Amino acid sequence: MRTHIFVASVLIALIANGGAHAHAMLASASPPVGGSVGAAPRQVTLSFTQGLEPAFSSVQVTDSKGARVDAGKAQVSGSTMTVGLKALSPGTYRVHWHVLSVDTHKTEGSFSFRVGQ
Amino acid sequence: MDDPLIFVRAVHFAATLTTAGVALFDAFIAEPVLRTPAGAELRATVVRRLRWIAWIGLVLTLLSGAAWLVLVAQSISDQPLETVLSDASVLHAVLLDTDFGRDWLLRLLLTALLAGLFAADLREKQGGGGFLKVAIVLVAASLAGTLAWAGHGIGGAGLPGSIHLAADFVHLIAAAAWVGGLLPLAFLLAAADRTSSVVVARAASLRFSAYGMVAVGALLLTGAINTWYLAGSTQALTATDYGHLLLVKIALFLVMVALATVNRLWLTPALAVDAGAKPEHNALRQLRRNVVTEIVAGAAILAVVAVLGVTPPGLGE
Repeated sequence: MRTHIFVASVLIALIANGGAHAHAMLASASPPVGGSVGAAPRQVTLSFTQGLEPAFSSVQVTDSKGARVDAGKAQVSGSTMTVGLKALSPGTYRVHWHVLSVDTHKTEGSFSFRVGQ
Repeated sequence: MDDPLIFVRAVHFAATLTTAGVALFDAFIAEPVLRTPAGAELRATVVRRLRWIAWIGLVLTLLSGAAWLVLVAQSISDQPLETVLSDASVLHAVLLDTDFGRDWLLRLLLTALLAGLFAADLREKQGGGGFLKVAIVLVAASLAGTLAWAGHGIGGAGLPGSIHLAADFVHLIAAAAWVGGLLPLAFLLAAADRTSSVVVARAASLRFSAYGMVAVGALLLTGAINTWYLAGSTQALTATDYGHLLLVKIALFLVMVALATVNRLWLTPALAVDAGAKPEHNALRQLRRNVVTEIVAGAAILAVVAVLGVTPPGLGE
Protein backbone atom coordinates (compact mmCIF):
# COMPACT_ATOMS: atom_id res chain seq x y z
CA MET A 1 0.00 0.00 0.00
CA ARG A 2 2.84 2.36 0.92
CA THR A 3 4.65 1.50 -2.35
CA HIS A 4 1.53 2.47 -4.27
CA ILE A 5 1.34 5.86 -2.56
CA PHE A 6 5.03 6.47 -3.26
CA VAL A 7 4.65 5.58 -6.95
CA ALA A 8 1.59 7.82 -7.18
CA SER A 9 3.45 10.75 -5.62
CA VAL A 10 6.40 10.33 -8.01
CA LEU A 11 4.04 10.15 -10.99
CA ILE A 12 2.14 13.22 -9.85
CA ALA A 13 5.35 15.17 -9.19
CA LEU A 14 6.71 14.28 -12.63
CA ILE A 15 3.51 15.22 -14.36
CA ALA A 16 2.54 18.36 -12.48
CA ASN A 17 5.53 20.41 -13.62
CA GLY A 18 3.39 23.18 -14.98
CA GLY A 19 2.27 24.00 -18.47
CA ALA A 20 2.32 26.95 -20.81
CA HIS A 21 -0.28 29.71 -20.83
CA ALA A 22 -1.84 31.88 -23.57
CA HIS A 23 -5.03 30.61 -25.08
CA ALA A 24 -6.88 33.26 -27.06
CA MET A 25 -4.44 34.06 -29.85
CA LEU A 26 -5.04 36.63 -32.54
CA ALA A 27 -6.24 34.75 -35.61
CA SER A 28 -6.75 37.70 -37.95
CA ALA A 29 -7.19 41.45 -37.89
CA SER A 30 -8.66 44.19 -40.00
CA PRO A 31 -6.64 46.34 -40.80
CA PRO A 32 -4.20 43.42 -41.18
CA VAL A 33 -1.23 42.96 -38.87
CA GLY A 34 1.67 44.99 -40.23
CA GLY A 35 -0.43 45.95 -43.24
CA SER A 36 -1.17 49.15 -45.11
CA VAL A 37 -4.56 50.55 -46.02
CA GLY A 38 -5.29 53.36 -48.47
CA ALA A 39 -8.37 54.87 -46.83
CA ALA A 40 -8.60 55.53 -43.09
CA PRO A 41 -10.50 52.64 -41.45
CA ARG A 42 -13.54 53.46 -39.25
CA GLN A 43 -12.85 50.56 -36.87
CA VAL A 44 -10.38 47.85 -35.94
CA THR A 45 -11.72 44.28 -35.89
CA LEU A 46 -9.77 41.49 -34.17
CA SER A 47 -10.60 37.78 -34.49
CA PHE A 48 -9.30 35.38 -31.85
CA THR A 49 -8.93 31.60 -31.55
CA GLN A 50 -11.15 31.38 -28.44
CA GLY A 51 -14.33 32.94 -27.12
CA LEU A 52 -13.70 36.12 -25.09
CA GLU A 53 -15.08 37.53 -21.85
CA PRO A 54 -16.39 41.03 -22.66
CA ALA A 55 -16.02 42.28 -19.10
CA PHE A 56 -12.27 41.62 -19.07
CA SER A 57 -11.19 42.29 -22.66
CA SER A 58 -10.03 45.61 -24.06
CA VAL A 59 -8.07 47.20 -26.89
CA GLN A 60 -6.28 50.53 -27.33
CA VAL A 61 -5.19 52.10 -30.59
CA THR A 62 -2.52 54.81 -30.49
CA ASP A 63 -0.88 57.05 -33.07
CA SER A 64 2.87 57.53 -33.53
CA LYS A 65 2.87 60.09 -30.71
CA GLY A 66 1.17 57.71 -28.28
CA ALA A 67 -2.20 59.49 -28.26
CA ARG A 68 -5.32 57.34 -28.15
CA VAL A 69 -7.29 57.21 -31.40
CA ASP A 70 -9.90 54.58 -30.49
CA ALA A 71 -13.44 55.85 -29.96
CA GLY A 72 -15.97 54.30 -27.64
CA LYS A 73 -15.98 50.99 -25.83
CA ALA A 74 -14.74 47.81 -27.52
CA GLN A 75 -17.57 45.50 -28.60
CA VAL A 76 -17.06 41.78 -28.03
CA SER A 77 -19.10 39.09 -29.69
CA GLY A 78 -18.01 35.47 -29.37
CA SER A 79 -14.37 35.49 -30.42
CA THR A 80 -14.40 38.85 -32.20
CA MET A 81 -13.58 42.26 -30.74
CA THR A 82 -14.28 45.52 -32.55
CA VAL A 83 -13.50 49.11 -31.58
CA GLY A 84 -14.41 52.31 -33.44
CA LEU A 85 -11.72 54.79 -34.51
CA LYS A 86 -11.55 58.56 -34.71
CA ALA A 87 -10.78 60.09 -38.09
CA LEU A 88 -7.22 58.93 -38.88
CA SER A 89 -4.70 60.89 -40.88
CA PRO A 90 -1.95 59.07 -42.83
CA GLY A 91 0.65 57.53 -40.58
CA THR A 92 1.52 54.49 -38.47
CA TYR A 93 -0.78 53.32 -35.72
CA ARG A 94 -0.35 50.73 -32.98
CA VAL A 95 -3.05 48.34 -31.72
CA HIS A 96 -2.62 46.96 -28.22
CA TRP A 97 -5.07 44.25 -27.10
CA HIS A 98 -5.64 42.56 -23.72
CA VAL A 99 -8.17 39.75 -23.68
CA LEU A 100 -9.51 37.10 -21.31
CA SER A 101 -10.58 33.85 -22.95
CA VAL A 102 -13.69 32.13 -21.61
CA ASP A 103 -11.45 29.43 -20.13
CA THR A 104 -9.94 32.13 -17.88
CA HIS A 105 -6.59 32.67 -19.59
CA LYS A 106 -5.29 36.17 -20.26
CA THR A 107 -3.36 37.06 -23.36
CA GLU A 108 -2.16 40.31 -24.84
CA GLY A 109 -0.36 41.48 -27.90
CA SER A 110 0.17 44.38 -30.23
CA PHE A 111 0.79 45.15 -33.87
CA SER A 112 0.99 48.16 -36.20
CA PHE A 113 -0.70 49.17 -39.39
CA ARG A 114 -0.24 52.10 -41.80
CA VAL A 115 -2.77 54.46 -43.26
CA GLY A 116 -2.07 56.32 -46.51
CA GLN A 117 0.99 55.83 -48.70
CA MET B 1 1.84 30.82 -10.47
CA ASP B 2 0.25 27.91 -12.26
CA ASP B 3 1.39 25.30 -9.72
CA PRO B 4 -1.12 26.19 -6.95
CA LEU B 5 -3.83 26.26 -9.63
CA ILE B 6 -2.86 22.83 -10.93
CA PHE B 7 -2.88 21.40 -7.40
CA VAL B 8 -6.26 22.95 -6.55
CA ARG B 9 -7.77 21.75 -9.86
CA ALA B 10 -6.52 18.21 -9.20
CA VAL B 11 -7.99 18.18 -5.68
CA HIS B 12 -11.28 19.66 -6.88
CA PHE B 13 -11.63 17.12 -9.71
CA ALA B 14 -10.76 14.24 -7.36
CA ALA B 15 -13.16 15.45 -4.65
CA THR B 16 -16.04 16.12 -7.07
CA LEU B 17 -15.65 12.81 -8.90
CA THR B 18 -15.35 10.91 -5.60
CA THR B 19 -18.43 12.58 -4.11
CA ALA B 20 -20.48 12.00 -7.26
CA GLY B 21 -18.94 8.54 -7.61
CA VAL B 22 -19.91 7.33 -4.15
CA ALA B 23 -23.49 8.59 -4.68
CA LEU B 24 -23.74 6.68 -7.98
CA PHE B 25 -22.04 3.61 -6.44
CA ASP B 26 -24.50 3.61 -3.55
CA ALA B 27 -27.53 3.68 -5.84
CA PHE B 28 -26.31 1.19 -8.47
CA ILE B 29 -24.02 -1.20 -6.59
CA ALA B 30 -24.22 -1.01 -2.80
CA GLU B 31 -27.97 -0.78 -2.24
CA PRO B 32 -28.87 -3.73 -4.51
CA VAL B 33 -26.08 -5.96 -3.15
CA LEU B 34 -26.59 -5.13 0.54
CA ARG B 35 -30.36 -5.64 0.38
CA THR B 36 -29.81 -9.39 -0.19
CA PRO B 37 -29.83 -11.77 2.82
CA ALA B 38 -26.07 -12.33 2.42
CA GLY B 39 -25.40 -8.60 2.36
CA ALA B 40 -27.53 -7.71 5.39
CA GLU B 41 -24.82 -8.33 7.99
CA LEU B 42 -22.39 -6.00 6.16
CA ARG B 43 -24.91 -3.28 5.49
CA ALA B 44 -24.41 -1.12 8.56
CA THR B 45 -20.60 -1.06 8.24
CA VAL B 46 -20.52 -0.40 4.53
CA VAL B 47 -23.20 2.31 4.63
CA ARG B 48 -21.28 4.08 7.38
CA ARG B 49 -18.06 3.96 5.32
CA LEU B 50 -19.80 5.25 2.21
CA ARG B 51 -21.31 8.14 4.15
CA TRP B 52 -17.86 9.11 5.45
CA ILE B 53 -16.55 9.20 1.86
CA ALA B 54 -19.57 11.25 0.76
CA TRP B 55 -19.29 13.90 3.46
CA ILE B 56 -15.50 14.24 3.37
CA GLY B 57 -15.77 14.45 -0.42
CA LEU B 58 -18.37 17.22 -0.14
CA VAL B 59 -16.24 19.29 2.25
CA LEU B 60 -13.14 18.91 0.04
CA THR B 61 -15.22 19.84 -3.02
CA LEU B 62 -16.36 23.06 -1.33
CA LEU B 63 -12.92 24.03 0.01
CA SER B 64 -11.06 23.29 -3.24
CA GLY B 65 -13.79 25.04 -5.22
CA ALA B 66 -13.40 28.18 -3.10
CA ALA B 67 -9.62 28.07 -3.50
CA TRP B 68 -9.97 27.68 -7.29
CA LEU B 69 -12.29 30.70 -7.47
CA VAL B 70 -9.85 32.85 -5.49
CA LEU B 71 -6.87 31.81 -7.64
CA VAL B 72 -8.72 32.48 -10.89
CA ALA B 73 -10.00 35.84 -9.57
CA GLN B 74 -6.40 36.76 -8.72
CA SER B 75 -5.20 35.81 -12.18
CA ILE B 76 -8.02 37.52 -14.07
CA SER B 77 -7.97 40.77 -12.13
CA ASP B 78 -4.18 40.97 -11.63
CA GLN B 79 -4.87 41.86 -8.01
CA PRO B 80 -2.96 40.40 -5.05
CA LEU B 81 -4.63 37.88 -2.75
CA GLU B 82 -5.42 40.44 -0.02
CA THR B 83 -7.37 42.61 -2.46
CA VAL B 84 -9.33 39.69 -3.86
CA LEU B 85 -10.32 38.59 -0.36
CA SER B 86 -11.18 42.06 0.95
CA ASP B 87 -12.62 43.89 -2.07
CA ALA B 88 -15.98 42.32 -2.90
CA SER B 89 -16.14 43.94 -6.33
CA VAL B 90 -13.41 41.66 -7.73
CA LEU B 91 -15.23 38.43 -6.83
CA HIS B 92 -18.51 40.08 -7.84
CA ALA B 93 -17.16 40.77 -11.32
CA VAL B 94 -15.69 37.29 -11.72
CA LEU B 95 -18.80 35.49 -10.45
CA LEU B 96 -21.32 37.46 -12.48
CA ASP B 97 -19.40 38.63 -15.55
CA THR B 98 -17.50 35.51 -16.62
CA ASP B 99 -18.59 32.08 -17.86
CA PHE B 100 -16.26 30.54 -15.27
CA GLY B 101 -17.91 32.50 -12.45
CA ARG B 102 -21.47 31.72 -13.48
CA ASP B 103 -20.63 28.03 -13.81
CA TRP B 104 -19.00 28.18 -10.36
CA LEU B 105 -22.22 29.56 -8.85
CA LEU B 106 -24.26 26.81 -10.53
CA ARG B 107 -21.93 24.15 -9.17
CA LEU B 108 -22.06 25.70 -5.69
CA LEU B 109 -25.84 25.36 -5.89
CA LEU B 110 -25.59 21.73 -7.02
CA THR B 111 -23.14 20.95 -4.19
CA ALA B 112 -25.49 22.51 -1.62
CA LEU B 113 -28.41 20.57 -3.09
CA LEU B 114 -26.45 17.31 -2.93
CA ALA B 115 -25.53 18.04 0.69
CA GLY B 116 -29.23 18.49 1.48
CA LEU B 117 -30.08 15.21 -0.22
CA PHE B 118 -27.29 13.38 1.63
CA ALA B 119 -28.65 14.79 4.90
CA ALA B 120 -32.15 13.58 4.02
CA ASP B 121 -30.68 10.16 3.25
CA LEU B 122 -29.00 10.08 6.68
CA ARG B 123 -32.42 10.24 8.29
CA GLU B 124 -33.66 7.16 6.44
CA LYS B 125 -32.98 4.01 8.43
CA GLN B 126 -33.55 1.56 5.62
CA GLY B 127 -31.76 3.59 2.97
CA GLY B 128 -33.70 6.36 1.22
CA GLY B 129 -36.81 5.75 -0.83
CA GLY B 130 -36.76 5.52 -4.63
CA PHE B 131 -37.33 9.23 -5.21
CA LEU B 132 -34.49 10.27 -2.93
CA LYS B 133 -32.04 7.92 -4.66
CA VAL B 134 -33.10 9.12 -8.11
CA ALA B 135 -32.68 12.74 -7.01
CA ILE B 136 -29.23 11.96 -5.59
CA VAL B 137 -28.15 10.22 -8.81
CA LEU B 138 -29.34 13.13 -10.99
CA VAL B 139 -27.74 15.86 -8.87
CA ALA B 140 -24.49 13.90 -8.42
CA ALA B 141 -24.23 13.24 -12.16
CA SER B 142 -24.89 16.94 -12.88
CA LEU B 143 -22.24 18.00 -10.38
CA ALA B 144 -19.66 15.87 -12.18
CA GLY B 145 -20.82 16.76 -15.70
CA THR B 146 -20.85 20.53 -15.19
CA LEU B 147 -17.09 20.40 -14.56
CA ALA B 148 -17.04 20.44 -18.38
CA TRP B 149 -17.62 24.19 -18.28
CA ALA B 150 -14.42 24.65 -16.31
CA GLY B 151 -12.13 23.15 -18.94
CA HIS B 152 -11.28 23.58 -22.59
CA GLY B 153 -14.81 22.49 -23.35
CA ILE B 154 -16.01 26.10 -23.52
CA GLY B 155 -14.76 28.64 -26.01
CA GLY B 156 -15.21 26.43 -29.04
CA ALA B 157 -17.56 27.72 -31.70
CA GLY B 158 -20.50 26.27 -33.58
CA LEU B 159 -21.66 22.67 -33.78
CA PRO B 160 -18.20 21.10 -33.22
CA GLY B 161 -17.87 23.23 -30.10
CA SER B 162 -21.23 22.02 -28.77
CA ILE B 163 -20.40 18.39 -29.55
CA HIS B 164 -17.12 18.79 -27.69
CA LEU B 165 -18.90 20.25 -24.65
CA ALA B 166 -21.52 17.49 -24.68
CA ALA B 167 -18.78 14.84 -24.96
CA ASP B 168 -16.95 16.41 -21.99
CA PHE B 169 -20.16 16.35 -19.93
CA VAL B 170 -20.70 12.62 -20.56
CA HIS B 171 -16.96 11.92 -20.13
CA LEU B 172 -17.00 13.42 -16.63
CA ILE B 173 -20.09 11.51 -15.52
CA ALA B 174 -18.58 8.25 -16.78
CA ALA B 175 -15.33 9.09 -14.97
CA ALA B 176 -17.25 9.79 -11.75
CA ALA B 177 -19.05 6.44 -12.09
CA TRP B 178 -15.93 4.36 -12.78
CA VAL B 179 -12.95 6.16 -11.18
CA GLY B 180 -15.15 7.64 -8.44
CA GLY B 181 -16.63 4.23 -7.74
CA LEU B 182 -13.29 2.53 -7.06
CA LEU B 183 -12.86 3.94 -3.56
CA PRO B 184 -16.29 2.81 -2.29
CA LEU B 185 -15.69 -0.54 -4.04
CA ALA B 186 -12.40 -0.93 -2.16
CA PHE B 187 -14.19 -0.27 1.12
CA LEU B 188 -16.98 -2.70 0.33
CA LEU B 189 -14.49 -5.44 -0.64
CA ALA B 190 -12.52 -4.78 2.56
CA ALA B 191 -15.68 -5.23 4.65
CA ALA B 192 -16.50 -8.44 2.75
CA ASP B 193 -12.95 -9.70 3.28
CA ARG B 194 -13.07 -9.04 7.02
CA THR B 195 -16.26 -11.09 7.42
CA SER B 196 -15.27 -13.61 4.72
CA SER B 197 -18.47 -12.71 2.81
CA VAL B 198 -17.24 -14.05 -0.49
CA VAL B 199 -20.80 -14.14 -1.84
CA VAL B 200 -21.14 -10.39 -1.31
CA ALA B 201 -17.68 -9.71 -2.76
CA ARG B 202 -18.58 -11.67 -5.89
CA ALA B 203 -21.98 -9.99 -6.30
CA ALA B 204 -20.51 -6.52 -5.88
CA SER B 205 -17.64 -7.30 -8.22
CA LEU B 206 -19.92 -8.65 -10.94
CA ARG B 207 -22.24 -5.66 -10.71
CA PHE B 208 -19.33 -3.22 -10.75
CA SER B 209 -17.85 -4.92 -13.84
CA ALA B 210 -21.04 -4.44 -15.83
CA TYR B 211 -21.36 -0.87 -14.53
CA GLY B 212 -17.70 -0.22 -15.31
CA MET B 213 -18.00 -1.57 -18.84
CA VAL B 214 -20.74 0.92 -19.69
CA ALA B 215 -18.61 3.71 -18.19
CA VAL B 216 -15.47 2.60 -20.08
CA GLY B 217 -17.43 2.49 -23.34
CA ALA B 218 -18.64 6.04 -22.75
CA LEU B 219 -15.11 7.17 -21.79
CA LEU B 220 -13.64 5.67 -24.98
CA LEU B 221 -16.23 7.22 -27.28
CA THR B 222 -16.20 10.69 -25.67
CA GLY B 223 -12.42 10.54 -25.21
CA ALA B 224 -11.97 9.85 -28.94
CA ILE B 225 -14.25 12.76 -29.83
CA ASN B 226 -12.34 15.11 -27.54
CA THR B 227 -8.89 13.95 -28.66
CA TRP B 228 -9.80 14.52 -32.30
CA TYR B 229 -11.24 17.93 -31.50
CA LEU B 230 -8.39 19.19 -29.32
CA ALA B 231 -5.30 17.53 -30.77
CA GLY B 232 -6.57 17.50 -34.34
CA SER B 233 -3.90 15.25 -35.82
CA THR B 234 -1.42 12.53 -34.91
CA GLN B 235 1.35 15.06 -35.35
CA ALA B 236 -0.19 17.22 -32.64
CA LEU B 237 -0.29 14.20 -30.34
CA THR B 238 3.41 13.43 -30.70
CA ALA B 239 4.83 16.90 -31.19
CA THR B 240 3.12 19.07 -28.56
CA ASP B 241 3.19 19.20 -24.74
CA TYR B 242 -0.56 18.84 -24.74
CA GLY B 243 -0.36 15.79 -26.99
CA HIS B 244 2.24 14.14 -24.77
CA LEU B 245 0.11 14.64 -21.67
CA LEU B 246 -2.89 13.21 -23.50
CA LEU B 247 -0.85 10.12 -24.44
CA VAL B 248 0.13 9.65 -20.77
CA LYS B 249 -3.53 9.91 -19.78
CA ILE B 250 -4.50 7.31 -22.42
CA ALA B 251 -1.72 4.98 -21.23
CA LEU B 252 -2.91 5.21 -17.61
CA PHE B 253 -6.49 4.58 -18.78
CA LEU B 254 -5.34 1.41 -20.59
CA VAL B 255 -3.58 0.23 -17.41
CA MET B 256 -6.85 0.62 -15.52
CA VAL B 257 -8.81 -1.24 -18.19
CA ALA B 258 -6.25 -4.06 -18.16
CA LEU B 259 -6.59 -4.43 -14.38
CA ALA B 260 -10.40 -4.32 -14.64
CA THR B 261 -10.25 -7.07 -17.27
CA VAL B 262 -8.12 -9.27 -15.01
CA ASN B 263 -10.59 -8.61 -12.19
CA ARG B 264 -13.56 -9.61 -14.31
CA LEU B 265 -12.15 -12.56 -16.26
CA TRP B 266 -9.95 -14.25 -13.67
CA LEU B 267 -10.41 -13.01 -10.12
CA THR B 268 -14.21 -12.64 -9.87
CA PRO B 269 -14.93 -16.16 -11.20
CA ALA B 270 -12.33 -17.45 -8.70
CA LEU B 271 -14.56 -16.17 -5.91
CA ALA B 272 -16.66 -19.31 -5.97
CA VAL B 273 -20.03 -19.56 -4.25
CA ASP B 274 -18.99 -22.01 -1.49
CA ALA B 275 -16.88 -19.97 0.88
CA GLY B 276 -14.26 -21.08 3.42
CA ALA B 277 -11.61 -22.62 1.19
CA LYS B 278 -8.24 -20.88 0.78
CA PRO B 279 -8.30 -20.07 -3.01
CA GLU B 280 -11.27 -17.69 -2.63
CA HIS B 281 -9.47 -15.72 0.00
CA ASN B 282 -6.41 -15.27 -2.20
CA ALA B 283 -8.56 -14.18 -5.13
CA LEU B 284 -10.32 -11.64 -2.93
CA ARG B 285 -7.00 -10.27 -1.65
CA GLN B 286 -5.65 -9.93 -5.18
CA LEU B 287 -8.91 -8.30 -6.30
CA ARG B 288 -8.57 -5.74 -3.50
CA ARG B 289 -4.95 -5.06 -4.47
CA ASN B 290 -5.94 -4.53 -8.10
CA VAL B 291 -8.68 -2.11 -7.14
CA VAL B 292 -6.19 -0.08 -5.07
CA THR B 293 -3.77 -0.02 -8.04
CA GLU B 294 -6.60 1.21 -10.24
CA ILE B 295 -7.28 3.98 -7.69
CA VAL B 296 -3.62 5.07 -7.90
CA ALA B 297 -3.76 5.10 -11.72
CA GLY B 298 -7.02 7.05 -11.53
CA ALA B 299 -5.42 9.62 -9.22
CA ALA B 300 -2.53 9.99 -11.65
CA ILE B 301 -5.01 10.57 -14.49
CA LEU B 302 -6.61 13.38 -12.45
CA ALA B 303 -3.18 14.97 -11.95
CA VAL B 304 -2.61 14.84 -15.73
CA VAL B 305 -6.06 16.35 -16.34
CA ALA B 306 -5.22 19.17 -13.92
CA VAL B 307 -2.12 20.00 -15.96
CA LEU B 308 -3.94 19.57 -19.30
CA GLY B 309 -6.33 22.27 -18.14
CA VAL B 310 -3.61 24.89 -18.04
CA THR B 311 -1.86 23.72 -21.22
CA PRO B 312 -2.83 25.10 -24.63
CA PRO B 313 -4.39 22.40 -26.79
CA GLY B 314 -2.75 21.23 -30.00
CA LEU B 315 -5.22 22.75 -32.43
CA GLY B 316 -3.86 25.20 -34.89
CA GLU B 317 -0.28 24.01 -34.42
